[in-house]
Amino acid sequence: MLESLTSSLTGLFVHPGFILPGVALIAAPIIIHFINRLRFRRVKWAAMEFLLASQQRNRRRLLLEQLLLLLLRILAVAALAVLVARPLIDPQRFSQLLGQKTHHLVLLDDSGSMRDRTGETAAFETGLDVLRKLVAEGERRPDSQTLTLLLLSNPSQPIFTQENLNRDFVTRLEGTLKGLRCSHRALDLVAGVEAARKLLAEMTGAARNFHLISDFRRQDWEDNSALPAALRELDLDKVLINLIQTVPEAHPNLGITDLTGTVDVAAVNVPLRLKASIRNYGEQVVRDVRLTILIDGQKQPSSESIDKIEPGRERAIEFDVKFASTGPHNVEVQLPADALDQDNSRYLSLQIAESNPVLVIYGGNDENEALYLIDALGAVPEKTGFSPTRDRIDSLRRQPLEKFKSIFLLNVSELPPDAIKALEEYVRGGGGLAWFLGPQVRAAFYNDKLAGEVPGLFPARLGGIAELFLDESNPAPDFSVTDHPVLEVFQDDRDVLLSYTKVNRYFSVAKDWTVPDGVRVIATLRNKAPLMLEHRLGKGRIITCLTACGDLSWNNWPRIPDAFVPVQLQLATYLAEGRRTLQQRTVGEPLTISLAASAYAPQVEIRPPDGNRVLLTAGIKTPTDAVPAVQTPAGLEYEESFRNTDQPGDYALVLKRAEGGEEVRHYAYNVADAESRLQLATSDSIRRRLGPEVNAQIQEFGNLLWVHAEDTSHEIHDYVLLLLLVVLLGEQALALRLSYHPRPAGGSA
Amino acid sequence: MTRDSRRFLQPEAVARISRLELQARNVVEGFLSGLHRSPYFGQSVEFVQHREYVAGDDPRRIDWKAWSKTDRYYIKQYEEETNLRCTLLVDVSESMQFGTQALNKYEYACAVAASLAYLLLRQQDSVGLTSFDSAVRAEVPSRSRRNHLHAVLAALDAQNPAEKTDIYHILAKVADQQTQRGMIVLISDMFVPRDGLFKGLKLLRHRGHDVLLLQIMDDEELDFNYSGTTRFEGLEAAGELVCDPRALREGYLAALQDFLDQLRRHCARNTIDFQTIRTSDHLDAALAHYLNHRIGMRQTLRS
Repeated sequence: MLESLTSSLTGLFVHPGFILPGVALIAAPIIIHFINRLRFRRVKWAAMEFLLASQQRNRRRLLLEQLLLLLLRILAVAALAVLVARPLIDPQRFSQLLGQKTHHLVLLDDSGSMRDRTGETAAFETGLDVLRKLVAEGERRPDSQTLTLLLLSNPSQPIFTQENLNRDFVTRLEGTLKGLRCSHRALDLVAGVEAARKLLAEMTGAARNFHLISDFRRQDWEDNSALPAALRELDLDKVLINLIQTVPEAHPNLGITDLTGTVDVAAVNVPLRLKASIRNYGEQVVRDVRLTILIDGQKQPSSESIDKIEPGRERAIEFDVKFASTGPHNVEVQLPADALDQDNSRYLSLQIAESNPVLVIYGGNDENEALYLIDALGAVPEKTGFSPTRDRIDSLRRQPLEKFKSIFLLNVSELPPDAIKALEEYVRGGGGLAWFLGPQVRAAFYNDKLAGEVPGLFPARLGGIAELFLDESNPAPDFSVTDHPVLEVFQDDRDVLLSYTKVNRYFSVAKDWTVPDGVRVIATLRNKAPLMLEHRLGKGRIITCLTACGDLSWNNWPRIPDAFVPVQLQLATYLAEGRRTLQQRTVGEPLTISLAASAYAPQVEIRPPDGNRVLLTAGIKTPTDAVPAVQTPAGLEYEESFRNTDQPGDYALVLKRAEGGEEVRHYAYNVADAESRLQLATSDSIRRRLGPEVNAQIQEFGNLLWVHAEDTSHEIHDYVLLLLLVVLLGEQALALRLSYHPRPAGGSA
Repeated sequence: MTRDSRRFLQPEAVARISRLELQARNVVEGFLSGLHRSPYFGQSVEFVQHREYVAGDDPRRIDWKAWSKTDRYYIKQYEEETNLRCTLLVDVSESMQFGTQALNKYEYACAVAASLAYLLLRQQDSVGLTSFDSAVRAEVPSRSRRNHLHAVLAALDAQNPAEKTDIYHILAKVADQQTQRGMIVLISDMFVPRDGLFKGLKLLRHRGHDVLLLQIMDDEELDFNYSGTTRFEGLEAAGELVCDPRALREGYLAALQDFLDQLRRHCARNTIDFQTIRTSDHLDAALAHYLNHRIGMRQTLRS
């Protein structure tokens, strides 16, 4: 019992063992008082009458004085005992005695960078350990503290709200923490702090503590002034701020920042050139970076490598992949494991077509004028993936154009209105259009029906056919090019191609025509006249070449296959990309499904990368003021949003067609590169950003002493010493007043 | 007291009486020798008659003119010397046994009474004595013979002092006994019921007696300088009290002062001479006070 008594005093005194003897010593003045009462001398007294009268008159006062003196002596002994025991005062404990609790709000950063591993332990797991220790310490004083736990990925929905820290909660917490996973997303710390601040404002208690368990990356603290400002607001609210670091040092990190390619023209058995960009986020050069390629989960026998990447720099690797079948496929590229794994993989989902149909419309009488182009595009379909079709203008009206990846119009004199309309719809929907002029072109028609103040299908008003004469004095090539993917072949050091490529005839633009907004000149003749133009219409791209394609009297391009073929292939590819089927999706973005009610059933199945299939039933899309009712040709649409896209990888969406059968669409989700930068903000820089007036504790990695010493008690021996002094002086003064001091010899009465 | 009574006195009593007599003599003679140089002697004292000189009379009082005329020694007698009947009332109760000085109150009172008796008898006044405690202890009728002193002194012997009874009874008895007017000297600590005392004193005054109160108190009773836990056991069954005397001192002195003031006021109202004498004071003080009173008395009579 004595031990339990002493232990209960532990929080109140540095040396609680002195208290019990001290309490025993308090009896000393009482005992001495009674002993004095028993020790007296006897005097036979005659004038009792007056003595009794005095005693009667002063009985109460005497009693009070005696008691006061006794009390002062007891207090002096008690103060001495307390002084020796070194008392502590803990405002929190005092408040707890009044029924007030200490609130802990923990904001746990579960952004992608918290997957950074030190050894085998991720920063997120370190954060969970800190949380466990904090709860364990609070459980030692059951029901005196509460915990609110927020995850940065969802700060508006706390996992726990003002839960009392006791044994029962410790058990529940452990079960919950086992199921927690760190997200892959880039998250906003400011939003988390704001949410915490709102919750803390509702808490009344002895003390409110805000614990931010995070990895304190430089980009969060030094490049962002909103976060220190948000914490300053917390400090003004008198919340104790505790910043807990979960990472000991910045780790080197390589990450794949991009995986892209001309997926829109991917065709079966046709090599598809892909490009992977790799960035070195570390401080040291990294050499011999190996990239592993997986197609549909199968590791390819060969890997790619980069000899070195300087710190802070990005390098790209291009490689070709080939798909043996049509349909959906996915490509994954991987780097070797390092501290942060989530950016070591990148995914690409693509639909492989049998081939890429291209429509070539020729306006001249000679169908061979299209042959050069047809040959360039489709001579080796297994290499190019294009299957060009030659046809007349009429076909623009007769068939749906959406199936074509791009449409080339060669030497077309005029277009009927419905063809114009079909072309406009096609381009606006994402289709690509290439104009090549020729002798059949009627400038007046183009100027009147195709070009306009605002560029429509045709970007410029034409003048007339012009000749580019040879200039002996100017040895420059007939035309110069800008940095454009279509003209990539001319941008190498192979000026020889430019020097060989000749232009004799071209269509000039109208004299008063100036390049309008939205139109770009991508190639220019020697005489400064524009040769090639690019502009957009809706989602689609239009490239206009003011010379002919396939008419050797206009230019000799077909005779320079090294230039002609790559340009046409690039052109066909560039135009096909207008559809932008390659969508870069970031983890966390909802997967929005919109389906025509007439074509699909509302039941959809989602197959995320983790393998757990999710069945959803899409609802009818209701129109709002912002979003008017979408009227498909058949009427209504189904709409659904799937939000659980934290895991990077391939998400397959399986749809049921109304007429039967399934359709599968694939979406690749990748992590954002914001979480790949692992440089840490130092404690000093954090303090500087917070400012000197903010009282925030910053706990370095591994320091857990604060968990145990989070009590706010402090010694008050100065006050006790002062009290003892006052009591002793008071006791002496009262004793003197009560004349308990012996008179000096010879003193008068 | 007769010779036979004296014979039954205990040896200690005899010794005590002898000492008392000696002491009284020394005090009075000393006092008078000092008084010789005092302004009291020989001034404002009216000559009444001559008396033949007898052995023992003060030679300074010899009237040399009369000797030159008659060749006989005569001394002068003055007005105050004639026929004063004085009764000494001496309190010999238990409370008078208290004392912290060389003499306790009782011994001091006896010394005062003895000195007064000696003086009175020397001046050929008659003096009687009544000692009392709970009742009259001893009574010696007033005589003026010189050898009456012994009887007076013998009456002062108090053994087994008891608590006082109502002093009115004592004073009334004295008033009844003293049919002739005279002087009553009450020597006591006055720790008696006030009402009885005042009533008795008033009675004596009413009967024409001249009353002189000599209150004998010990220094400690007057100063109360005790300290330390003390158990005060009251004499005369007055109770007991354990206390810290320093705590009660102020109240005690206030109560005592009230008592003394009350006594003084009553005495003043009734023309009773009242004097408080400390046992540390020299016995001369009592005698001086007595003489002052006598002078005052004479002046009153003359006017």
